[in-house]
Amino acid sequence: MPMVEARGVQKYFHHLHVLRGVDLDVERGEVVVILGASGSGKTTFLRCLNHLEKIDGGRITVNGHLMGYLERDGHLVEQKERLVARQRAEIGMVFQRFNLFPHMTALENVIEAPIRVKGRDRRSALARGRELLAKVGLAEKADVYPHQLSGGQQQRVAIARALAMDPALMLFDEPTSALDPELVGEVLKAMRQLAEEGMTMIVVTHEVGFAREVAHRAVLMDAGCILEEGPPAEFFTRPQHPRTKQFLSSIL
Amino acid sequence: MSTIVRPAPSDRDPSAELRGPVVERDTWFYLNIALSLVAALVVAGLLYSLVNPGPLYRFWFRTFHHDLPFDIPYFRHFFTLPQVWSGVRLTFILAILAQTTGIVLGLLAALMRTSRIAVFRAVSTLYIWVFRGTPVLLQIIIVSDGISILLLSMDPDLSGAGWVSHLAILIGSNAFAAGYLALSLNEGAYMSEIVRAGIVSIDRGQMEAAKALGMTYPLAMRRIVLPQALKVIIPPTGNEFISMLKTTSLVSVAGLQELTLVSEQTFAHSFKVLEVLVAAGVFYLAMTTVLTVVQAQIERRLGERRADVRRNPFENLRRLFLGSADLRHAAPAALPPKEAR
Repeated sequence: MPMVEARGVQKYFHHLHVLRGVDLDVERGEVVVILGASGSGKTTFLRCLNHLEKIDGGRITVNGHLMGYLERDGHLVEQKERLVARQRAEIGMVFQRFNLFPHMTALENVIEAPIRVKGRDRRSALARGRELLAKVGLAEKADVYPHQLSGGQQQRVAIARALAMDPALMLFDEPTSALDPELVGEVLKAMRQLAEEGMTMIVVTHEVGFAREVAHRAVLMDAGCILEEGPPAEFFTRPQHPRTKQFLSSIL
Repeated sequence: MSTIVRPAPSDRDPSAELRGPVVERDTWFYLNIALSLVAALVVAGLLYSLVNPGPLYRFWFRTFHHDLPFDIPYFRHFFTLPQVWSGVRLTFILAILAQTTGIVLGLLAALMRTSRIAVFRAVSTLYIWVFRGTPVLLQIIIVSDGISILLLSMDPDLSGAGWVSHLAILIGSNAFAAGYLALSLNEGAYMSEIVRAGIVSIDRGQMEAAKALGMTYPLAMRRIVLPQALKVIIPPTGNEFISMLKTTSLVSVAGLQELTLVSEQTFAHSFKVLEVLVAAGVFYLAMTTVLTVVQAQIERRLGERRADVRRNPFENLRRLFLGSADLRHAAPAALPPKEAR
């Protein structure tokens, strides 16, 4: 059973048809990079995967469970908020703008959800939190507030925060796009380490180097559809679709 | 073209680093000191001339026909009257109770106004519309008189021991309860808009990040959004508190023996109108000053997470009277001033 199964996902923003039937399977331990021009629907698709956006058609299952909906007499019925929240707790998400909680220290950011959502006791959450901060190379920044950290450091705290929930799947929404160029490397390094540990990851990014070296599969989205997918080695060297060739030549 | 390598700061002459620009005090600094001294001397001289014989004293003496229009001994006497102190106590307690309840009501109304349930939004909008759109004086009279009339018509002889007559007796016969109810309801409408402004000022990404971590809406609101909104909510709430302290004077129409009514009753006996009202003003000013200092302390606490906060307690007083040119301590952009009630 794949970790993520998306079938014919449709999404409208009012009259704008942003997702026109997206199909994507992601296996356990697989790293998938989604590429595409802005407005192609890649971020929206990622947000549908953890039900931050409701879908208007198709179905998404994560870890074998229908995401955000219940099936009743062949219809999809929206699930109770509490149950959606429980499903989201299994999926880590890293945002373009970090979205750290500014009124909490780095460590407090990391332990908040394990304590409040998972009911972990404070002491073990603190120990695990420090461990995760050390893992992303920020052990000494545990008691520092987000505004005292650089963008790259904030994004690494955000990764630690998501990992603290022991997710089965990690979603990355352009994790390096808001960073100064010199800070991109440290975030990619943390992500690469995560991939090597076997985490299932779906990454929306423009970092072709990361896609080539870390991803198992690259996917190109255009106008709300998946146009082409394949192993990075082929995807980047022998693209089939003319739109893919055009996109790759514009970013390489 | 060849690359130019500049010496790193540590390679440069260290003494050059130490010679920073010299900050000179400008003309305004000395002008301010001089003008302040002159102003202090003029005020002190005027006060002195009012009580001590001299040429200016003789001028006042002639102008006011041998008797000053302001009876200083009586002014002092006012501060010793027990009914005045009980009026002060009543004013203070009423203001604190009504404001606290108003904050709770406002929080509720704001959460309802941002709710996904349409009926909640409608109820909250209606509540704010009514209580912000009518004079608070009218609301006090309606609550103290109108409701007891209404309840009495439901239970004319007050015979029943039911909740209707209990409520009628409580509100109708108790000016404090009526004033408390009316002021709280009115304040809740204003506070809800302040709280709502605080909530919407928080970036949507905060709620999304909380949800992505598996938090439910109420949990994310309580742990993530509201604590951050507090910084925006506190300064205008301080304003509201001060405003409430003064608005309690309107409950005198319901017969509550608070500071203003006590003052009116006092000068009705003694005819020392100016002395009594100025003294009452001093009481109000003292109470609002206490609230201002408390507010400044709370704001400082909230800002204390930042490492660079000054811990000098006199700093608050200085800022209170002189303002602050230091933008780090400037209050967040205030809401537009609320219209006269």
